[in-house]
Amino acid sequence: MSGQVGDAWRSAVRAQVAERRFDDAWRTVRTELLSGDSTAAYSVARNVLSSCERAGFAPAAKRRIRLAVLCTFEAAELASTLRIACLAQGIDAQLYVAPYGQVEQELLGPGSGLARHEPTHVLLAPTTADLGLPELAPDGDAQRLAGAAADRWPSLWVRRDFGATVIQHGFVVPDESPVGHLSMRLPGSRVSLVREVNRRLAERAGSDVLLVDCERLAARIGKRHWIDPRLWFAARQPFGAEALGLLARETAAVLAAQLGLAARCLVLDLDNTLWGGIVGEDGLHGIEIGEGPAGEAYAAFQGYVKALAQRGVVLAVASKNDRASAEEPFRQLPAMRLKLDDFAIFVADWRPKSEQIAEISETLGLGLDALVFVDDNPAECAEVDGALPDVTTICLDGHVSERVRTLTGTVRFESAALSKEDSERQRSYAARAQASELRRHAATIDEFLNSLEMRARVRRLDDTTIDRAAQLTQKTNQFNLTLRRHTRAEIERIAADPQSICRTLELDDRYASHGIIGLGFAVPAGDEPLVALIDTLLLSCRVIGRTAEMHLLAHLSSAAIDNGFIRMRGVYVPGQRNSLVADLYPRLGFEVANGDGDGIVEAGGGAWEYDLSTRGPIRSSFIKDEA
Amino acid sequence: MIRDDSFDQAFLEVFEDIFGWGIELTDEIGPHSLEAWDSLAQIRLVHELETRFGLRLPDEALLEQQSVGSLKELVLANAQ
Repeated sequence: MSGQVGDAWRSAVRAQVAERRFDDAWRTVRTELLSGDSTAAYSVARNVLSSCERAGFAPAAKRRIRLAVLCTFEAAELASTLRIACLAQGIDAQLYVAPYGQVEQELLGPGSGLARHEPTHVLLAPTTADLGLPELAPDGDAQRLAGAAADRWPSLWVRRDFGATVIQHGFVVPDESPVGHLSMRLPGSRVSLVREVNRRLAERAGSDVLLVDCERLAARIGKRHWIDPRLWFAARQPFGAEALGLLARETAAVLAAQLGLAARCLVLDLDNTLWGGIVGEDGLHGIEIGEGPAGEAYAAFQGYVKALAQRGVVLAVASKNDRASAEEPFRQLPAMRLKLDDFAIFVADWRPKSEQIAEISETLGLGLDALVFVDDNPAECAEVDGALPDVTTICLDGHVSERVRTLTGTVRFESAALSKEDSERQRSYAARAQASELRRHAATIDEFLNSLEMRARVRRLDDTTIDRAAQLTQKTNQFNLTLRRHTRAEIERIAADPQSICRTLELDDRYASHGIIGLGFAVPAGDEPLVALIDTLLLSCRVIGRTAEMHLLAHLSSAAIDNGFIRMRGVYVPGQRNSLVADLYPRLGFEVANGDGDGIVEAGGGAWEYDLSTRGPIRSSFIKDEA
Repeated sequence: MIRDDSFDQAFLEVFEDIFGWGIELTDEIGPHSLEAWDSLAQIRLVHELETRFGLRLPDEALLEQQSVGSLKELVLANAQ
């Protein structure tokens, strides 16, 4: 829940640290870091973290990255703020901060500090001043000038021999212009030129480069607060107080999305959250929705939530209500922007909300940390926050007219790229909830699997599917045997070997088309070229328990035979949440492999082999291939 | 705004946020006597004093060598 950096908040954090409740102290601070831009929160966070460090406690991080920060200004303050913002998103960022202004030298020079750091991510953080654009150029020069100013950055993106992911800050359009409002229509005005530079960067970034839209961020807090000229002249650090926190927070959120840490499901309360009033007491026609100031505000909030759903956020309801009366507004009132089929799961009963949300998490197969819960009632928020600390709880107790701002104030819903699967996800999760229902009725698991009428398309990886494949390796935590996080570039390298086998799996069933939800890569093993090592085998959690892994292995094994491999080797690398596949290979009849599998066994994992030459391809019984 | 206990307490909290909890504050302390008080810390001080007291400090808050006492005077002089 979001608080306020005030005296009470400070004392609470200090008390938690004094009592050595470091976990609680960090959680209190983290909530504020995710939702506020206050520099004081970052200062308090530094104190909490240094106390934690002295006590030998480290906040849990789900990803570790090596981040190089290249700025055209004194980067120390942004870097320090960014490290804390990353930690709030679950990212432990080992930082390398390049000397002031040494962008090309660090990126292009052999043996630079950056090269020695071997970064996984490189942040390029320039300001508009670096573009060196004139206030007003002749119209005829505009395209050339904008092109030359923009080129500097993409030319650096491609120099990534070390395979790091680039995250680029965009440029802020100036808020002052000597030609006034004419700047909007003159292509050679600095205002128009900077807009054009941003447009070109977006066009060239493709899906490989992460962009942070600084223009939008600066506009949000007001451009006069974005740059603080005093700090620039005194310390070569350009950003104002609010800007630093906001920029760090949003940069970390974009990184989190790329690393698969963004939230995926929004759990909504109903009464006084999606409409005004209590439907069970005020009646269907007594609630406020669509008309009047409050009704319009609720409708606008629903509209924003619906747009989130359209871009791939899964929606769920957790309401203390009779189910029939809770559903009625969705069925009866045309002013409701959200419809029942926008929700993957609808829980309305009288249990504590934490129980409802735990059920939602389980039914959808999404971890609690992938859930954001919103409710207008502080007591409900406190109950969920206390019982399920991994869920991000946002309390909508402010003005009804500002609900969208309250929701967007907490950055958990960034997305590195939109793929076709994102918009299909809602239907797919709803189908999963229906399939869970069906499982209760089906007498045996075989009957259940058959009743799903599953059809699959297993295809060679190609240009149209590689982004989705990279996304899956980054985001899949449960059904993922090796937890190898591949970038697009790494996958391209794997696929370039003619011996390697890279397959995507699309699955349809009687309820929905799930899109690409499975991935299998097999490559020649380093020690035995005739053994096909399964580098990656993963399934989106939506389709766990459908035998889709058998289907992928069936295709991998028959392609492996075609490629002349004699055995297939599967390994399990243990992680935080993938224990459900620890014994997958032995369950499928693989035999324990000789050797230690590169130390995997010592680390709690295992290596197994399947003899292709004597046993033939693996069979898949419940899924049919479709052209 | 006057220099009373609650003013001193608020000032202390800003310094504690930046230089660590439990710091002892006297008016004489400045960058010469506090190693952590570098240009980075100076930026944070200005940011947080301005937010805390709801004011804008003059450029000299950043440009000159300051002490706790001189910053207190600047805050009081620029408060509404």
